Amino acid sequence: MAGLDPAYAAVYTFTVASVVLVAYAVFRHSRLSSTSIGPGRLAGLAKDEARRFTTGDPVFLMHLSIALGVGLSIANSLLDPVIEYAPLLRTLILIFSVPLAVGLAAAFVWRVQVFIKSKRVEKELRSSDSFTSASTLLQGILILAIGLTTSELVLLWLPSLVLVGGTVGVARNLLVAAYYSRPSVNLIGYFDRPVSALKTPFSLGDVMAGKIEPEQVHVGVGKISEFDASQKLSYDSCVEIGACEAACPATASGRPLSPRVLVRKVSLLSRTAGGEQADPLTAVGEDELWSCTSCGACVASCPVSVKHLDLIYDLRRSLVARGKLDKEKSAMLENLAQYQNPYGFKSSTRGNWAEGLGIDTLAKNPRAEYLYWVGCLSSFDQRAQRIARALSKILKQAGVSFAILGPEEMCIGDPARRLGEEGRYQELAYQNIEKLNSYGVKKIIATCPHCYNALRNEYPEFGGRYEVVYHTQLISDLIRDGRVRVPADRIRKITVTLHDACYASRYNNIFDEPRRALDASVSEVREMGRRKEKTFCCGAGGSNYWYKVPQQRSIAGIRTDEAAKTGAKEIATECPFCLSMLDDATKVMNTGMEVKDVAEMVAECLA
Amino acid sequence: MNHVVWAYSENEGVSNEVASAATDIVKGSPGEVVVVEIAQPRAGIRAPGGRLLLKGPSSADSPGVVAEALYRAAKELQPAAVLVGATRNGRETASRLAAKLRVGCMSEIYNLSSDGQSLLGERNVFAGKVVAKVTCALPAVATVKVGSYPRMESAPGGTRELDVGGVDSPIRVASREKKAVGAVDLKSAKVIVSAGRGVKKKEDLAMLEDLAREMHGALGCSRPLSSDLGWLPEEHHIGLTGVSVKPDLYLAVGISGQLQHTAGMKDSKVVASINTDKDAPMFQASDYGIVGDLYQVVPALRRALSAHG
Repeated sequence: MAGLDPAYAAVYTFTVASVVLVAYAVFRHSRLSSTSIGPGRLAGLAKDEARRFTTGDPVFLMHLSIALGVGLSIANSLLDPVIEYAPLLRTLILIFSVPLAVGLAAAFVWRVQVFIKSKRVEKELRSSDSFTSASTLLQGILILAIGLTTSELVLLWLPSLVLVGGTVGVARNLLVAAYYSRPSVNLIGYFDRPVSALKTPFSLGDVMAGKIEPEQVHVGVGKISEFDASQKLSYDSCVEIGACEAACPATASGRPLSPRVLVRKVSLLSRTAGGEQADPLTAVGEDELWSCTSCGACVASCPVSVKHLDLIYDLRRSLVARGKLDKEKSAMLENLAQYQNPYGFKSSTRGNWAEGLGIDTLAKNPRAEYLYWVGCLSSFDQRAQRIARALSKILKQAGVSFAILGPEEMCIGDPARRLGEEGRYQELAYQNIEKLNSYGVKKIIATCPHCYNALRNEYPEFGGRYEVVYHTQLISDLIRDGRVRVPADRIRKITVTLHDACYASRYNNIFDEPRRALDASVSEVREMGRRKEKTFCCGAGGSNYWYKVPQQRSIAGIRTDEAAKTGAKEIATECPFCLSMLDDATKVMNTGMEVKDVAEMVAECLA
Repeated sequence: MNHVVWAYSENEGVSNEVASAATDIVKGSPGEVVVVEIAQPRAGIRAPGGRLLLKGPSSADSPGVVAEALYRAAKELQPAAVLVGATRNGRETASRLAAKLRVGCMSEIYNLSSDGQSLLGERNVFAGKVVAKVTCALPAVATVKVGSYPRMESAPGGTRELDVGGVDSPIRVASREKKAVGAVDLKSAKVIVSAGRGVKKKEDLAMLEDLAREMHGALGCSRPLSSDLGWLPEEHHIGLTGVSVKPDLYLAVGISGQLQHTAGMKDSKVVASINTDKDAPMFQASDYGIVGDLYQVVPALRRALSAHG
């Protein structure tokens, strides 16, 4: 159209140049961090984004609007000289621009809201002035980028303002090249890395086999330069979207942690003069790190796939390596060393809960189909033992052949690993695997999601490969197959709400099965707002069960409030730690609600 | 090799224990025991074979200074073994000294003896469940487990002085203050009355506090009362994230008995509990249980206690 107009030619030239710059910035960051962003990754990402689109998560929809909005306006600006010859395409672009502009406008509002909240959080955390101004600058720039893209989409409808639209687009492209290229690379490279993925810092097996010398084992991160390239990319990709902060139970309870601030502090430290040599612990506090419950809400909610948990674990390992453990934490580790359980009970009493129930140990019945991995809490906690007894009752009634290890079982190691004591974790893991393999164990049932997660996702790396099933899955299958029958007159007339355990739902996508089991045993299940993979932590994970962190109110209390608001009379849990935390909280708050495991609720209905 | 064994502790009483340990080692051999003092002789020190006063350092406050003084003296006089009381400072002194002398260091040892070539002894491992026999070639350094030897009663001996020169320390003692003694000492209490969520309101704790006092015991509580409700200070909190206790009698009042709590009191000798819920897990961790309302049982218990004077 205005092809010969010199102003138009200039704007178009700048547009092309800025788009090339965006492409170059993305390419450069993928090279710097050795991140694969090839067509295969892009196709995978497109598929995953389509899947997440169907979940209707508002933060995700805003993220998608930004990505597609930027893409659409770039495409439009490049096609502008020829668009008049393709009226259909022009119409399509105009039609698509409407929902994207709405999504962008929503993102703009969300961002402003995040900005206000973030300043409040920073005040509570007593963040330094330099941090607050860096954060304000970044958030301001990204609000600007969203604003520019929104106005560009609006300007699409006004062809007479094509030069204004083009200029806005160039400015936005420059911001995208500077601020969105890293998050884009990070998202393409790591969108499918699961929440449960944990970087194993070294292998004790390799040390024992003499493949590496003990002196070569390096634990924790003492300087920024010790983070690997993908970690650095991850932390530098944070654009303060604020989804992690909104989802974090530690932030909600007034603990001294915000995953956004944590990641940004490390990223900003790495960019100071001499930052590569800086010790991250100079910028991050001990209680800040201990505040994390490893619930994974931050990682799961991040639209650009920042992996906060890797950072937490690396820095916790540094604290452990430097002996920065208080009495409670070191007592837990000592108990693991001396008693192979984190409480200091004698291993010989581990199977006492099963006395008189006719349950074999594997030593007695090595041909049992399933090993029931009881876990420490259900072995030693008098309350949680009822979960083990309830499951045993169900399995017996269904005629499932199972046995336990009894005194031969040890802690799975999860509390040590989440605390940052990788060595102790691997010691336990190797010993457990040796035991399990010596019995030729093939199938394992777990009632603790922390044991389940380790057995399923972590032990294979150390040579332990088993078919692991969670008790709620097995119970649901047994009901479906008619092997467990709840007579209609035994279904309890009661309203129940289910509290999903992070390590079952968010970590391992188990959330339909416990609901099916409940549907078969109680008359009504009412849902909390935060449920399934968006569940809210009970406060015990990440070894928090064993120590205290300064906080304004308890995480379990926040969750119990939420459960009480459903009007349910009982809270169903699927993890012995959740049960313990919520049971305490319901008593403290006098809600009158009872807390029971799903297995107990099903077993109650059986004759 | 001569058979002189040195004994040292910055604590007078412990020094006299270490002197007994040293005497055991030289028993039946021509060896002798020398009690070492730094800077100033102390009145309560018993020294069977005489004492060696090291002059030069201005005080014995810092383990670093003591280790350096002992090192200089040992280089000159070549004792066969140096025993240090296994106090907090002593452990640091001994390890520093052994490193300087480049000899072995045995820690927390009792039943010490020597065959002339090595120092032999025993130490508790695995939280006292197993006794390890350990040996270390002479010359050697060892810390002596506090409380494992009787204190040397009286043994006069002469004092020899040795000037080891000044020792600089980066640490200066600015002042000394007595540690504030907390209102509650659950660790050493023989009887503990412990309150749980069965207690309906904060004011009702007074009743349990009275009961604890009448039983010459201390008041503890489960986590919700201190951490969540704030009815009692944290130092009363017994459990996994609180204090671990092992009294002769533990009376759990209105405590449901989660492991979070029982992990902190499982080593109590006798456990009794009061709870309205007969299925409360606490009963399984108890030797005696009363199923009943604490608001009836506790007053009845107090009446019974006063009746028996």
